[in-house]
Amino acid sequence: MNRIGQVARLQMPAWPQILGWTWGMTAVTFGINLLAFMANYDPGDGVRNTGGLISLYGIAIGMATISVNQIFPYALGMSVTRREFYLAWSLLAVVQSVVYALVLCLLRAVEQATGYWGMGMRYFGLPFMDDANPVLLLLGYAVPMLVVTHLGILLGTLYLRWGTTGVLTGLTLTFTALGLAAALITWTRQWHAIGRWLLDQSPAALLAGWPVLVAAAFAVGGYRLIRRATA
Amino acid sequence: MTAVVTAHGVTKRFGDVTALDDVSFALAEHTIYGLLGRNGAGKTTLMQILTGQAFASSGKVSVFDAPPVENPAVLSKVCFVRESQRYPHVYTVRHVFRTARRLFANWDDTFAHGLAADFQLPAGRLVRKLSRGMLSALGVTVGLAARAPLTFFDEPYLGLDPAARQLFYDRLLADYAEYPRTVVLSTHLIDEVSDLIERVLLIDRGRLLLDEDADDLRGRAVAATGPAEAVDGFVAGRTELHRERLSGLVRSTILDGLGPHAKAHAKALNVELEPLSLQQLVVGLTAPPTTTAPADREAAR
Repeated sequence: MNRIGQVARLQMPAWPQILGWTWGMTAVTFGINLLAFMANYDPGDGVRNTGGLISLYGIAIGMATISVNQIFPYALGMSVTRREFYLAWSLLAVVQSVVYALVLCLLRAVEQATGYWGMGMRYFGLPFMDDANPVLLLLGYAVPMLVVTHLGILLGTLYLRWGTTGVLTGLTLTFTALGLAAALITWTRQWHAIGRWLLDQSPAALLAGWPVLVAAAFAVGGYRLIRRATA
Repeated sequence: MTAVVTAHGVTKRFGDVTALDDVSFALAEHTIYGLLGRNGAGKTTLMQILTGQAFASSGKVSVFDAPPVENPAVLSKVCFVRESQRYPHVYTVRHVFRTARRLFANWDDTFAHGLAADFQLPAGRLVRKLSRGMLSALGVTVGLAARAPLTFFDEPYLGLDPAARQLFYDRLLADYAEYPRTVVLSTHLIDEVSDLIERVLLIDRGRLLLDEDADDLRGRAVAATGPAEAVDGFVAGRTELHRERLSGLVRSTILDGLGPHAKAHAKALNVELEPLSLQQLVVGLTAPPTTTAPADREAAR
């Protein structure tokens, strides 16, 4: 465990950049959304969602991919095993997800205290979680972050193994599979059943429960791929 | 001898290319090895396999009595310094030292900073902004200060000027005397390191050609020069590595040429003998025949 911690610290010199870019870009998207709301402000509209928070999760994918690509070849050169590297990066993903989730909980509280930034703009608050308890709320932010960070690590590992071709092939196959699945669902007229199943799930299951399984699947995939990676 | 590394029938294929072909040898404890061979001979691939960074297609490798791949117990005793090592974009020289201190059990910070001062490495500079020479200096500093029981240097001295290389050789010898370990130096600067290395591993086109004591090798190769017939007479029964024609004379590189009778024999045949350096021996063993025998090439047309 101590060794995993030492390996995880290989990322420390990169933290100013990772945090700066992630939250800097989030601040910019927040500012643009706020400007758009100000331009169209009508007190009668009530509170509206922006969905802009998704950009933070998108940035997290890229950051994890870059981090794996930058540091794995160095770690291997410093006699670190692939297993140690993967466990360390998985640990970093957990820590980062919890810390980011705490920040988001805090920003959500500020958002509510300021009457949604005075413009009725819900940027950080999650829909259908208005009366969730603090633990569920934290999980609602943290688990999707865990999913995208492990997706980023998986993409980084694909790149280590097979370069750009590997990443593009992986994405193409995924989109093809998803598209075929959608076609199959339409063909068999199952959308209604799926919609009903989704509505039956609690917000906690949708934001935290099922995504944990997705994160675990990405983690298993990334781990298996990295075990044969070379620098 | 206590074997630190044993390789048995190690083969590595990249598609149609066989980078290593059935290589077997052992590395002893507390010895400095020279891993010699031309570019593309398979030196880096071999070191990558020995350090678990690459995977052999077949064969068996044991390092400190265990397979090195994904083995933290083995890798904690191994340091592999590559000329082509990649460093993270945001890393400075200081970051490299800091991480090395955490990851190598025997790391000596004082020694590292002494070496950095000797090589004039700027601690605060980004690694990607270092000149080629400084990058090499960073590599050898990490390799020396890590004091790993098994240390590989894969031509990290390519960017060093002669004075800096001498500094590296001096520091290596001094530190080795105090903290004996197994060191493998891969290099083309054979004459420079020939006093340093105790044993030679020579690979050519993926095959192990030599695995011998450096001292034995130094006396083993001679060049015999004289008229073709005389040289033929002298070479008969001996191992000829290489032959070239120079204006009516033939110059032949011979292995095991200097027995007690060899000198008299050569004199009787009017053949001139001269001992060859390690570098000349390696050139003789690995040079492709077409480039050194113009007469033969003419004939082949």
